[in-house]
Amino acid sequence: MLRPLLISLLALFLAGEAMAQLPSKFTTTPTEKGPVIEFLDGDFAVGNGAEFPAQGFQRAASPNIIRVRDKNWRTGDFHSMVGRFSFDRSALGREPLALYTVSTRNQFTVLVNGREIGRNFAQPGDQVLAWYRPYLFPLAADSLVAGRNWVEVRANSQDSLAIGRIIIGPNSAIRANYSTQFFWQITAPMAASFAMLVLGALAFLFWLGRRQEAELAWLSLSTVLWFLRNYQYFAEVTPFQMDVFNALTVYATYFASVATAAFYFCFTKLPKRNTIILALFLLGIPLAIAHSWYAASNLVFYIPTTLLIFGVAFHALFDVFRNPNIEHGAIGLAMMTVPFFSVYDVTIANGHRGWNGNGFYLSVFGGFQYSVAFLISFGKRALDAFAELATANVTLEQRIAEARTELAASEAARQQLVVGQALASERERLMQEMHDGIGSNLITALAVARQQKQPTSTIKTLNRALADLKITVDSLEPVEGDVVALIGNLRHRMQGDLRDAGVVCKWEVEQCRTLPWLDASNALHVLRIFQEAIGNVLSHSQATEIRIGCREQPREGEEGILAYIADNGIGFDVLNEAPGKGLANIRARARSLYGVLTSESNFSNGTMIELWLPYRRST
Amino acid sequence: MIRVAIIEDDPVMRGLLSGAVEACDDMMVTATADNVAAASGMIEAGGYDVLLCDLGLPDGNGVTLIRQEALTGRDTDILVITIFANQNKVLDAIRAGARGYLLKDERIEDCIEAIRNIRRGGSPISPIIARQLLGQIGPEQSNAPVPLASPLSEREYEVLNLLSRGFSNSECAEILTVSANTIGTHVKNIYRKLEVNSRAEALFEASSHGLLARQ
Repeated sequence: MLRPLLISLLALFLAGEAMAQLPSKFTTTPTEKGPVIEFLDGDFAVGNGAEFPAQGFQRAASPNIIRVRDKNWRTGDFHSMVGRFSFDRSALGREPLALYTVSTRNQFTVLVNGREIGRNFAQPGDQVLAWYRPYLFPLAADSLVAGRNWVEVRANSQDSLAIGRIIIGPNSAIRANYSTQFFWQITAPMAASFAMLVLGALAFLFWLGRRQEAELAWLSLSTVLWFLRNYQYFAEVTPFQMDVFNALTVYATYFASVATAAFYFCFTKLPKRNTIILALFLLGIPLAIAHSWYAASNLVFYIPTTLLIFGVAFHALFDVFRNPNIEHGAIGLAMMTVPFFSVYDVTIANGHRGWNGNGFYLSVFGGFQYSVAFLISFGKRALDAFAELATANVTLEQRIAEARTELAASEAARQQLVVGQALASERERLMQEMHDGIGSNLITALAVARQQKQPTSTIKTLNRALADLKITVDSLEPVEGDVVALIGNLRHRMQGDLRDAGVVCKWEVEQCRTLPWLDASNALHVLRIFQEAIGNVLSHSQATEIRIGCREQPREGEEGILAYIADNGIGFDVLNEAPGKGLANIRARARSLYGVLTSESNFSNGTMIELWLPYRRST
Repeated sequence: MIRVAIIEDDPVMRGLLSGAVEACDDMMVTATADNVAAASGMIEAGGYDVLLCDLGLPDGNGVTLIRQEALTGRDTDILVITIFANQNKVLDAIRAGARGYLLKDERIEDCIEAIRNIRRGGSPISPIIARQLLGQIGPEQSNAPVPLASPLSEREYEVLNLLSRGFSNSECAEILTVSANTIGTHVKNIYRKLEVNSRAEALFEASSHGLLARQ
């Protein structure tokens, strides 16, 4: 009861003392809603302990930030600071006003003209984390008076102590700035950090399924460590003792960086990565000992951390150069930006005396951005794997289809072989039969007839029967469609007859392809046609020369073989088909071969019979 | 004087052949046989230059006799007596060691000429047999499982190719500008190569099936 009264009296006294002082310097920024002022200096008093100092005010620049190491303080001990700022009412407009402060830490109260307009704590024991949090206090319409006005900020802290930027202006104008700052300083880091945690948890689940991919486990661990490190940015209160929390935050920075490096080394399959990771973790132990027992500066952690992130960035540069693809590119780029975030934070955002409320830190987003990069990379890999699976399925199906076709083909070939073998053995049996039976008997009969000087007609008949039998045998010979060899063989057979008749044979065959359809029965047709034709020449034509030949010649656009027999004999009347049914037989045989037979005969030039055979038979 | 031995079970055919041979001044029949058993003894005794051998004998296949004769290593020319000169029979006989064939229905003077010809070093061949030989001992069978012990020479291949297309010996000779006799000699050499190759093939088959102990 007595104490607040005393404080108020003291304040009044102090105010009186201050009122004698010069007004604070401030900048004025005109806005649509009216001018906004920000104090450039003020009167500050600093004291040990949680109690606010009542005297010892000195003019100093604003914002006024005192880090623990600046004064050899110990984290956990309370120190306090009071800042006073004065301005004339005329510096501001008539709109509803608000006071904005950022970087003021940690527990603080704001008074205007001796009246409290806001505070950031409920009771003095609260361990508020205010260093990175912007505050906006609307001012009641009657807060300001005409003429000189006073703003007083009272802050105490167990860590660094500061009265940050103090800005007064139209509520609507500075609220926009407050919202932006709040988003980038609190909302975004918080969202990014929690999202990162979720991604880490996902990575952990993936790792449970794929234990061989160590990078998943490292990524998961690194997100937890980065969350610990980032917690200071968006936490409203310290979860436990300030000194322990601070130490943990500092340790987490190093170990999170090591876990990140471990993740990346596993991702790029860096040789000897396990040794390197182990060494980096082990290095953390002496660093922690130096930091906590010997009260060494945070720099013992920050310097190795900086070296590490630069090392990883260089490694990323080489890796992306070696593997210029989305998987490596996304993560590599994320790794390469981390040092830039740090450099920005240390040089731009931090200023020369710690963060003063201008802008925001970037490195708080580092863990999130490479987690997302990993998700992209992982997604790409998954997509590729799906695509590969689909391709593999297609290939597999193709192979199965091919194998099935091959199997069918080989089965067909086997069937054909079986049929072929059956045909061959049947043919062999027939041959044997003709050889030992009919053939032998005909031979004997012929020999006997010759011996007994039987009439020529008998001998001729026997000869013809034997010749027919030979042609049948020849038609059964496997010539694989070689029509040239087939008619060659006939010529060979009839060589004796031609010689006896005194007919010179001119052999004019050219190389021809084989006829795929030339089986035994077709071969017999071909042989009979030639036999008949040659026989006609020998018996009717009185020719002295016969030309037999064949060549490849297309007919009506179709490829085929043209075979011919021409003589220089007396010829015959084509229209009356003089040599009897011989030619009719030949024509019938040519038709069943799908061939075309043409004959030409005149009395001066002899007879020419042409047989055209197609390579392919159209059905 | 060409000494001829005849193995033929048909008495008419045998009589016809031996009569025709005896009728020639430069030939004589030294022995005849009408079955495998008798022929085997005859081959052991030897004493002939040309062996005429039928294949279908009552107690076995003439091919075994041809092989028996070929294995004696004598300078005997073996001719197969055949009705059709169909490729299976002729090629089997040639693989066993024959160097030609006589057709049973041939004019007897042609048979005598064939015996003289084989003695001069010329073998007959039909286009279908030539064609078959091209496939079996063609010049470059790089894809063959066993390289040929005795591949055809380029000239032999040319000769065989022409013969398979029905050209006569004299036509071949004209195309290749050699004598007609040379063609017959080529054919005889081709037959010899077929025999050598088929023997090497049999040896390989046997050894690959473990029938022959490796030395």
